[in-house]
Amino acid sequence: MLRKVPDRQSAIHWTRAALDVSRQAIEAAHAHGATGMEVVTALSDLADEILRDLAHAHREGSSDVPGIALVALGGYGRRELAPYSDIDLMFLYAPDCEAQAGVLSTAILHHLWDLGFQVGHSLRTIVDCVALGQSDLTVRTALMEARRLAGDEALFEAFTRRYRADVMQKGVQEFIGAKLEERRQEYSRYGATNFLLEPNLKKGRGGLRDLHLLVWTALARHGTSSFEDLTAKDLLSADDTRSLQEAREFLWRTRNDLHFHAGRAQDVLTFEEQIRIAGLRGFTDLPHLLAVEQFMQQYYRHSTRVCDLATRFTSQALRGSARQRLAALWPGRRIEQWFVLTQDQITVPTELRKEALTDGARVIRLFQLAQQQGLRVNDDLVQELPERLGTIPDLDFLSEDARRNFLAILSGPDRVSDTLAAMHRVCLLERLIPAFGTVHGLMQFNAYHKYTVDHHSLLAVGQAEELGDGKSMLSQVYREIKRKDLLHLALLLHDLGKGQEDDHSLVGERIAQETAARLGLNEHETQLVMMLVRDHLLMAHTAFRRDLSDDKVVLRFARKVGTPEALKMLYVLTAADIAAVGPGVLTQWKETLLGELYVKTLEELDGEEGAEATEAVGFRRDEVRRDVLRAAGDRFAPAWLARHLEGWPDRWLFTMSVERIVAHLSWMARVEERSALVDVRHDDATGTTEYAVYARETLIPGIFSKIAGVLAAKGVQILDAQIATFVDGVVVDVFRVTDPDCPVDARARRFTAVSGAIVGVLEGRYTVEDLLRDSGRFGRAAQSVPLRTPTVVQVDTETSERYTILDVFADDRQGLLYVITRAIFDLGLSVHAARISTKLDQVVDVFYVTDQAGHKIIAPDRCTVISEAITARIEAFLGAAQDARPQAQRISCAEKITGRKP
Amino acid sequence: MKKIEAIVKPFKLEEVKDALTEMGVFGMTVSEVRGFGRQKGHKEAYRGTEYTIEFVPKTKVEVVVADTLAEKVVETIIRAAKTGSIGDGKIFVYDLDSVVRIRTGETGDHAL
Repeated sequence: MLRKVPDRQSAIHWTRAALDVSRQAIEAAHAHGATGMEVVTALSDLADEILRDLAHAHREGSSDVPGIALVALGGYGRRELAPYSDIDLMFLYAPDCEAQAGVLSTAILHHLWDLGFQVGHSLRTIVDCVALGQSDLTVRTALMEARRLAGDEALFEAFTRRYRADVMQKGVQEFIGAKLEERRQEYSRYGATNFLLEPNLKKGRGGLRDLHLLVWTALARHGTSSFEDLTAKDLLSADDTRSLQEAREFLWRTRNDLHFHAGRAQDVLTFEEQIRIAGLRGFTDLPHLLAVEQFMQQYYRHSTRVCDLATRFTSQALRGSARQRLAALWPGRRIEQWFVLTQDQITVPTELRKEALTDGARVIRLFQLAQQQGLRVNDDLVQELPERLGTIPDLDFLSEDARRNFLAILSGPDRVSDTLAAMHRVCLLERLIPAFGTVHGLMQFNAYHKYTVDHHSLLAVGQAEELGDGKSMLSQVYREIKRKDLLHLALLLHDLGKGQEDDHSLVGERIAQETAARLGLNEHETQLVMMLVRDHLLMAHTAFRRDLSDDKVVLRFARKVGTPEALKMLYVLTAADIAAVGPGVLTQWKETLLGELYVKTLEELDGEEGAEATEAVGFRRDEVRRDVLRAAGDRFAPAWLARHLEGWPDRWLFTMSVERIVAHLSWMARVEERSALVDVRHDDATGTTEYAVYARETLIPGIFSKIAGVLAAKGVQILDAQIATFVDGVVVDVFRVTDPDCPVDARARRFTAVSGAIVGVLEGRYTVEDLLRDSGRFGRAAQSVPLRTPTVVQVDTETSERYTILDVFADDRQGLLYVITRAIFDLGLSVHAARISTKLDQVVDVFYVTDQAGHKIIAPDRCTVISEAITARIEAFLGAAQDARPQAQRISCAEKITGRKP
Repeated sequence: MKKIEAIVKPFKLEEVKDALTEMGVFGMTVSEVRGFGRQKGHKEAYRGTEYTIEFVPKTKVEVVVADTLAEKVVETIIRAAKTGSIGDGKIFVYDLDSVVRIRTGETGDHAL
């Protein structure tokens, strides 16, 4: 193709054309399906041919000038040129040929430049090579792959011998370590994960560089880089070799596509190129999975394999040093019959594997131990596991032990995400959660996500874990969550519905339900995980797109979330999900808005017991108590006062003025065994009235409910109510009300009447039902409500140590509080604290209850009964008030409550 | 040409965007910003401990329009972003020297 031409100018013209023709032929072959290997080989051959011809031409016919050799290095040395790869050349010369080498290199390099090649070049003697190889990592690596193109053969052989003896066989350990470190730094620049959505095919994780790392390691440690040799030496399994060859072919061919199309050394697989190449490879869009997503799933499979194999091969070679081989012989600690723990690894002895790895629970236990002890699962074992797992029947992963071990891994406290990722790599996670298999390397084709679904999910767990140490509110909330296993599970599951036809949140909810059943979670746990998955976008949508100063927005959200524990989980899940989208996506901006929604919702869901015993709270508590003591002077017996102040709930201490606290105390001091006291205060500014009722707990059962009943019977509207029980059984119930029927001048009389009725009922002279019958106002449709939001009663056993908490959401109606509290009373529960609030036409009531004996109710069956009973009573009441012809069942219910025949 | 920069409440973004699109403004730049004006941030209590939100999250919308449209754009943004409560935001209007569309090199109104 190329001939010696005396005139340089015309030679360039000629070779340019020839080069173009040859390159076009190769490109055409590529387009017609030539393999990646055929193309890189053809391109290397073409470069070889040009260089040999140039060398020949510039030596004016004397083909064997002694003392100079033209040598290809690096990727070109390996004969792996991509269409726009650099060409790495070295002019090797004997010390007495320096001048000729200079002349020759100048001539050849000018030619190459004029031809449009990107050339890296050097002029070196053998001594230079050895010295540089010893001192410079890049040079050392490039020279390992030196290949003679033309010139003095004996000189090149002398170089090879010297270089091997003086450089390549020295400091192998350090070399591999240094290459690994260099690669790590590259990862951090070009993608710390192989699950980037726009990966760099060469330098990214799982890219060609990882293959090179393996090749260099093999050359350094074993003196060969051919996969065949490595397989023959049992350093790679036949399976590994096949994977590596397939992956290399995939990466080469794709990279060739990129270079040819861009007309330059373009190594980043951009979205645009992904779509184009997916089309070229014959992928077509399916309803739920785009062509490009199918193509990229292939890419991720290959790159994961490359990355895993390269890492394993390199670390094995690193540990192959004599000292470490000795350490490996050191007997490890044997535990639980099957497992051996060494300094940094856990393994199962080779001879036991066949027997040991037949049990699902045991395999999970292996990872659990690795997590607990901070160990790595042995590489050989990791390599063997996928195949072994294939022989274990599905049912085996559903055993009691298997479930327990898996939930323990999810609980942490440490290395949850790492452990799950390790389980994912050996295809264990998908045996426990089958849906995880379908998102293996599934990309999310949008400009927002950076990682594939499986990686994103694992990363999200990691993001939550990282919160553990922080000081932010988010960290604080994460630490407060008791069932971290459920949170981590929800994070793992939240996006698994992707890649299917339906809304991914709803598909995800089904997957969550199936997974919960597989893991044997109880009804409450199942519902919680399902909610977290189904509504995993709800908090972000609400916080970023809704007006958080609008009570309705917060209420609607609170109603969907239900309990403080669920809210905490959703808050952390939302933040972790966003953070796992990519670096810097969870901004301060987003955190602030999420935090604001969290605090506002918590205020709705949480009642009295919320305040934690933090230092700051304790300090403030002492401060208020001191103020109260000072203001009280000598009005109370000191011992009595101290005892009472001790028991004051934080919510009251922090929200009431010192004067109000002292006033409460003086009423409390006057409460006697068989009587009730009422203090009425009217606030002109807000037009509201406060009834504070003081009595002994033992006076009559259901005090709170009875007061609510009296107020309802008297036509007073309750805005909010608080109840607290004090040390010696004194209860204080404070109701803030409005009194729409009461004219201003009749106020005093009215207060006396209402107070009198309360005292009368509490002291047992008459009943609420008597009053209701007299007033005849109860159950009357006070306002027409065309659209009702469904009633929700949540039973929360997580938030408080001592109490079961009921969160009630319902439409407001005159008398509703009485219906609820009466239902609670009828269920045999006693209310220890409550927060009643009405916003717009909605009530959110929080009750802290126990059974009569003062024990927290935790039995799930009982909780269900409670929730259903209260819901039924509220529905019956609201339904009866609204509907003129209520159903039979409702009549009987309403009758029981109101004591009225319909 | 005028550049109009509006700082609005985050949840008002959709409404502002829709209103602007409807009146024929097709391009805009949106960013998450934090800051404070007369609101001066605010304090929140979490579990008895107070924490300060020094900078309130807002959304910044930037549009560039021909001089003739500027006034209408401002009115539209006000209409869409107003809640009447504190923290509704501000609108800044700037004179603009030139605009270049990078792909084609077009300038001035043609580049909008």
